[in-house]
Amino acid sequence: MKKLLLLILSITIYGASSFAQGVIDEDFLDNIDKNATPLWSQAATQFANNTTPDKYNKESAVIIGFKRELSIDKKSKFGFLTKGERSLTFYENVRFKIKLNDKNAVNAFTEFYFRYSDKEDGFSAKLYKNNGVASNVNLADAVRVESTGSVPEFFKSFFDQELNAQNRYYKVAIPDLEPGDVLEYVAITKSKLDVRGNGIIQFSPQYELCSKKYPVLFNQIAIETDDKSYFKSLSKNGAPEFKKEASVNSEFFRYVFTDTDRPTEKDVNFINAYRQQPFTKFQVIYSNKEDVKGVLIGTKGEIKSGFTKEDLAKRAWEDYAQTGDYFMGSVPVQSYVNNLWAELKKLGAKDWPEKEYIKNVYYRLRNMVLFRDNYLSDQTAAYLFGSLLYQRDIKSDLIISVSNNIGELKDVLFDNEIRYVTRVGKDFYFNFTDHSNPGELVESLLGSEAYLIQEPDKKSAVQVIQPIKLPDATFEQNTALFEITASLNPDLNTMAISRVSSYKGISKNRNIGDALKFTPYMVTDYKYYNGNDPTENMKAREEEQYSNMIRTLKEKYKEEKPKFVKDELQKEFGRKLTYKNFTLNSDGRSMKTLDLKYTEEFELPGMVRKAGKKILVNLPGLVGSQLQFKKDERNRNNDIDVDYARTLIWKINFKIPEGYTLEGLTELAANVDNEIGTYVCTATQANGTATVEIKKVYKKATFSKTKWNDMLAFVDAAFNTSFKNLLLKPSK
Amino acid sequence: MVVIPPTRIGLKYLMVFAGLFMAVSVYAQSSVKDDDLGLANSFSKKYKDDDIMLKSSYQFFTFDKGKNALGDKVVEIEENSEYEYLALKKYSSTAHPEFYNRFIQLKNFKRAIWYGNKYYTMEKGGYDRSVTGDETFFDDSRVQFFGLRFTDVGSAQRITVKKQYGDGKYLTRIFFHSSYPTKERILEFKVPDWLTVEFKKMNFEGFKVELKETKKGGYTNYLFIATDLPAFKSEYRRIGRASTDPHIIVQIKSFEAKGEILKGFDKVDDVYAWNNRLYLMAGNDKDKLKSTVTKITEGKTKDIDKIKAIYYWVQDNIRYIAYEDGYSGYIPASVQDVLTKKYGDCKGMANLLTEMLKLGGYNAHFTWIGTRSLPYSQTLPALCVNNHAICTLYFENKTYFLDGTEKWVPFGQNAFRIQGKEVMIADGDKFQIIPVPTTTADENKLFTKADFTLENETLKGKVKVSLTGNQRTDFHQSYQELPTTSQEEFLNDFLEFGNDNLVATNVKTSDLKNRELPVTIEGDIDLTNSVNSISGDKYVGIDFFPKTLERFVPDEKRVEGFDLDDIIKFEDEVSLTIPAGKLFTDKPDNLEIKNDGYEFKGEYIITNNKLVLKKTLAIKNSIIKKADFASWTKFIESIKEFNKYLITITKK
Repeated sequence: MKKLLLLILSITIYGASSFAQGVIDEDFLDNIDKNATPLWSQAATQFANNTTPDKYNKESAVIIGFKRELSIDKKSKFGFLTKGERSLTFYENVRFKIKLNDKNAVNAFTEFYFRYSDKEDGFSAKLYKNNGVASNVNLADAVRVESTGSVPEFFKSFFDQELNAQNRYYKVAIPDLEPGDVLEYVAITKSKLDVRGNGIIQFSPQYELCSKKYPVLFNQIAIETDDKSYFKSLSKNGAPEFKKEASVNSEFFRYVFTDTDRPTEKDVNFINAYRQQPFTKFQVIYSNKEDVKGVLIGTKGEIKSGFTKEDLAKRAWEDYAQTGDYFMGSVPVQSYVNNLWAELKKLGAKDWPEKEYIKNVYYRLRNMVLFRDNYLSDQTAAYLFGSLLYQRDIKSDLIISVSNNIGELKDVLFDNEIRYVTRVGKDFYFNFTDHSNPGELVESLLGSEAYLIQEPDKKSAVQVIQPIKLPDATFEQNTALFEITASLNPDLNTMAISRVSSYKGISKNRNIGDALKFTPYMVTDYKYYNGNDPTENMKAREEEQYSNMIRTLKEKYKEEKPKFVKDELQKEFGRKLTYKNFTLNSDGRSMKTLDLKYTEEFELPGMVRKAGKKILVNLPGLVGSQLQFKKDERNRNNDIDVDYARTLIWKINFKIPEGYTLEGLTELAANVDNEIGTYVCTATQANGTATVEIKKVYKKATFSKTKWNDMLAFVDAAFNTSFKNLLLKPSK
Repeated sequence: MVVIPPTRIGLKYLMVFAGLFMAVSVYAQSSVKDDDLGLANSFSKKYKDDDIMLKSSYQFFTFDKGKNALGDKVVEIEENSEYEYLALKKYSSTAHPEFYNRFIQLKNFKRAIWYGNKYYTMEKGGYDRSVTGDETFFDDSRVQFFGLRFTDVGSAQRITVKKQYGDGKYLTRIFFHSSYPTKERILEFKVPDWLTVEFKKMNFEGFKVELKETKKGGYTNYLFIATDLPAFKSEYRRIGRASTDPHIIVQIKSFEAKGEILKGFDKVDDVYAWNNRLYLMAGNDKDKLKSTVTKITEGKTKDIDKIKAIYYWVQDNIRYIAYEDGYSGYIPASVQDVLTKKYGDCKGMANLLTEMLKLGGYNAHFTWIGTRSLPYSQTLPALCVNNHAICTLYFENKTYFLDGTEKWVPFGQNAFRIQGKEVMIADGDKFQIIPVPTTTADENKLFTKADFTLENETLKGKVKVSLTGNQRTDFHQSYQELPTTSQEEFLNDFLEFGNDNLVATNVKTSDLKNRELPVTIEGDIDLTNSVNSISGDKYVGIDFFPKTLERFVPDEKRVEGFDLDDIIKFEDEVSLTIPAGKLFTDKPDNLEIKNDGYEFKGEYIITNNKLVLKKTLAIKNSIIKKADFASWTKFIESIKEFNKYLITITKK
């Protein structure tokens, strides 16, 4: 069966149309209020009082309660796929109550937003003064909000957030608001989703971090769905689980997440929120079949919180096998395979040696990605690559894995959490980017748990599932080397600098986008797969037009690149500087030029201080700004995540000016080496040149918080050394 | 074929680069006139940073009689405009906006492209958007715009516009410069004999603007022609264009209707009459303020205390929320409305403050003012003179200007944005025009006193910062609006001056609930990474608090001067005591620079084992004119050079 995903941009949303800007129509007001009235009478003890625990007295605001109830109903007696039934109906009830402790919070909630896009939409807000007096917020002065995008999170319906729907919202200024007040609102919205012809609807997976901008005393999400629904949820890092509850309507299932007394989280360095902070993820799927091929669907009426290895492999294979039928734009993926193969054949692909064919296929697909607005999904990339290899009977393996941001394969709950990789022999091929090369690793999949999967046996349905681990990259493989040649200008104030930057591994992936920005790499990209010059089959007029465009492009880039490099350098050094030149030495986009290497030349002020006739030169400062841990970060509650292991090396050669001698080399020496990392600084001089070498190594990507002191030692050494100077003394 | 055809490869990147998203076919439809190509080539050589030029910009204004929403007989104005754009570079793009609101209707708006030998209309009616700024809750200002995309140098597009000003008062001023280099800019006014209108020429000196005046058939035609204008460029802290760029202010003085001469804005009295009329339409019910005023002033026996209590209450309790729709942009909200809602715009706050003070028995008056961005005198009879409302209080033979929108301003102090500007003070049938006093840099001071001792490689000591005048108010306006959870960090950061090596502890402040006291923040401070120990000597900098003016160094392309939007004096006194047995050497030379608008003085004083740095930087005039750039740049460079010096500490 063909899988039909919910495509957010292609749906039809009722009630979304353009309205003139203006004040609210008074005729709506009664209706809005009437629709909201029943929500106030619902039992909700958590919203009963206006006090907050003393421990939160110093917080800017405290959310007393935030309750979201979403009911999804097909509104059809015959199943939502039946002829004539087109829509799913979403009812959302929201109740929100907040205590505003200071002026900042008053300003943040000085306006309330509400939706009136359907005649069943309702909203009502109350203001509670410190003295206990409550009043209703008058909506008569509300004005239309022109763009739904400007509606804050706490006021936007789930449906509108999910589908980026442009429904009609209003905003009202809250009268008589001051610190100490409590604000509360209830809202009901009704939205419809056109599902004509869709056999299955997968709503986007939701990731709810428990901690928010303010402490939350009560946070509840309730999802009610009819008997065509499937619900999946998994909570991590100590977050509460969704629980199944009885619904008032016996035909409905109800799933409830309740979190209480959740403080705020401090914003700190080296943290991956979804690996360390409590959160829950969930998804609703509608389907009229219990077993849909290729979908991680769960069990009707039950909360599914994980899948077995076998389930995962089976669903992944089924999904992968259908990829050719999916559409990229208006064209099935399989048509891309056919057309690409036809094109490659014309280029002589049938006769290419196998290794060259694999490489050229990779680069042809990268070329395709280069000229698309969006990257391919892993699944599509693997399918295209594997299918084109299949044309030459080259055997490839399908690998499924999971991003190291999600965790392990047992944590996979949604289809889009499955990552696909192709393996040919021992070589892994990952999804294509604008600049990737065959075999290059992907940061989010470094060392990830994976399964090699095969098509299930047609008779026995037994499937080969071989656990493997994707390759990791060590700090020795992810490197950045900066070879800096520096000298003082004759004014002895500014420094003339030539810096050659070379990147390998993940460090290259991180930097190649900026390095190649405003360079015309795309113009000759066809050469990487032995493709034809685009002008080959053009008529004279087309060729002229094309050449004009390429010339204009190059002229534009020639203007823009210096500006871009200068801006980036100024950001790096935090000051104005003079740009001189940029040269791309190796673009990092082919097997022959695998490393990224480029040279920047510029003049940098502010690296020189004076003491009488002596000059102090801040050579270690040429590494750029270094991370500092201030006192509020010197104790650690979370494990450490530095993204990826890496080595950074600076080799700084400084020409000692004529008539000066150099001192202070030994004072620059620093050496910290521990489990987290290494920081080494050495300085020497020879033949009128001072050489400072700095090496900084993050040995692994993640560490236990117990190693925080090691991290402090390593980071502190780098920070402190960056302020040290060498002394130039006049020889006479 | 699903693979992207090769002919699109380069084009796609061009489109992405230039922000163009139209199909190839659209680009292929234009053609270029030889004359236009020549003109574009000539302009592109002269204006290298510009992608597009205005070949011509013609606005034609005609006048008619009508009635406004208040039922007054007024002069209506119709504007018919035509703008012809040429591309100076391939694949360039821009947008042409036309602004409108409840007083100005956009009747007709078309875009045409040149093809072959004529223009073809491509679109009628542009994309429509609100242009309400973030600071405004709601207003009626809107824009329609067309995207203009060009393929070739010299390709042309034309915009035609028809606008209707329902009341001629709202056609206030027209600037000659646009966002593009312009070959010719024409403003034509066909003025009927029944209308007396004056066109005030502003900043014409130094610019070539020709005025032709012809009379024919009961009309006088005024034709303003400006040629070869560079583009107006937005620049960091640029002096407001009303102070620098040529423009005209349209002043409809009077008109005749059915034998009757009706007044427009002939004299300032007429502007006052109009302003006052709208002010009186607020519909105040002053009785509703009584209990609040009584409560606010309860227990206060002195008049000055009562006045301050009222002023501060408005500052602290009325939120700035501006709701400006049609005439509500000019008519203040009623006092009872502002009091009940506890929010309002400047007019609403000024109205409330005035009436509260009056209820308290004080001589307070609603007042109009133009902030510094509007450099016009109140004697100019035009609506563009004022953009703000405050309250004027006459008390004990002094005049006070009270601005409810300026939070945490002490009584008697005026925000810099209104200093030196004339106010129009309402007083029934009469009015008064007087200026808001200016202050000196000395009155707006940030004084830093720090005393350090050298302990191994660290400088330890105490630091105290004192702020007065608008520096104090600026501090409060930042600090008091922060979340409570961030206020402590803000104070620490304040003492650490953005220097990562400074760590402030035991931070104490003056009473920050009292806006009238100078703000003082003090604490213990440790400074690391500031001592360089090399070959037995130490090199130390104690100019820890450099006041960077780096952002105000003009680059070579800078067109107009800076408005620093502040006058201020920084004073630093920093001492360093070193152990006995050590001595300071290499004392830097003193530096003293005096200019009309800015001064610097820095000196190091050594007394035994104590070194004191005394440093003063005063910005006495917020305007740095372009003509002054050379000395201004030298001034900044000299300060940077002074800051660069380190002191050597060596053994005796």
